[in-house]
Amino acid sequence: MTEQTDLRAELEASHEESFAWAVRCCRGDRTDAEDVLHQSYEKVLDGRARFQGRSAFRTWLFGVIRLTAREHARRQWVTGRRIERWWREREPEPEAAAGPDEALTRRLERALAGLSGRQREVLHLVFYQDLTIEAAAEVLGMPVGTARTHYQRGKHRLRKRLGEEGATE
Amino acid sequence: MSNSWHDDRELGARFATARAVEARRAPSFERVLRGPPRGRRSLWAPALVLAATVVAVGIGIWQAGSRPVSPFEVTVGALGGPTDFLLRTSEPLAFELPDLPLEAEGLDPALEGWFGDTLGRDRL
Repeated sequence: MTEQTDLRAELEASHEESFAWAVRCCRGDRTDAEDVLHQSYEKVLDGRARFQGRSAFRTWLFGVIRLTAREHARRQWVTGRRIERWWREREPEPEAAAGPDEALTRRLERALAGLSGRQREVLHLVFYQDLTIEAAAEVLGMPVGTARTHYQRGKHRLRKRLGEEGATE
Repeated sequence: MSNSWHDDRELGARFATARAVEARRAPSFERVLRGPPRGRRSLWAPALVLAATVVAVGIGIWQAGSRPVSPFEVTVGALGGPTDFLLRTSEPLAFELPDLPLEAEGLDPALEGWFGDTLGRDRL
């Protein structure tokens, strides 16, 4: 029971970061991200995913979320919900409150959309989640050298795209 | 929150802004733990399955309508003949075959011998 309470507290402490990572793993779909995070929390709390202490809790949790997001995406193909999602993406996203921060965030998202999935993931983990490249490599299940390459190339491409966006605005 | 791992202050600042925006929009921990409300589940998937079934049944009916299959039809192959030409009788084939008036569709002249010997040429 104590272990369950501890786990719950750990999950709650990193909830915002976990949700942001889930959104990234679901390619920006917040509805899917909520489902994926719910499933991930259930896995952790009912013991289907067990923390062995071989890495930081958050690094391990991010790995669980990523795997769950992939399972979720596969299930969507089977059940036809992928088509529903495609339809949802066609609809224009409601404009969030148009503050300067929101505008900057949308610009960043547009620039990130031009990167490969792996580059986006590595940059998110390092810049947004404050993980080391080594920890990011562990979350993504790839060698550190590969993660470093994705990091360098992604960063270069992101800067370039942000520069292009700035020039066209 | 400062970022100590990356080596680009400008990108770091952009991501920090995004993090602050996202933190305001994230659903609560309790809500995520409870799971999605049932009402939010849309009917898209079942509707698609239903539509696919209707289309499949429609195609099936259309196909069946274009070439009716009835107990009045039998293939030459089924009668022990050398190929699968379709024979159509005016009455069910449960009756004694040689006594029935028969017509062949797309009859190959090369098969005439077999028809003649087996069924009688005058019945074709």
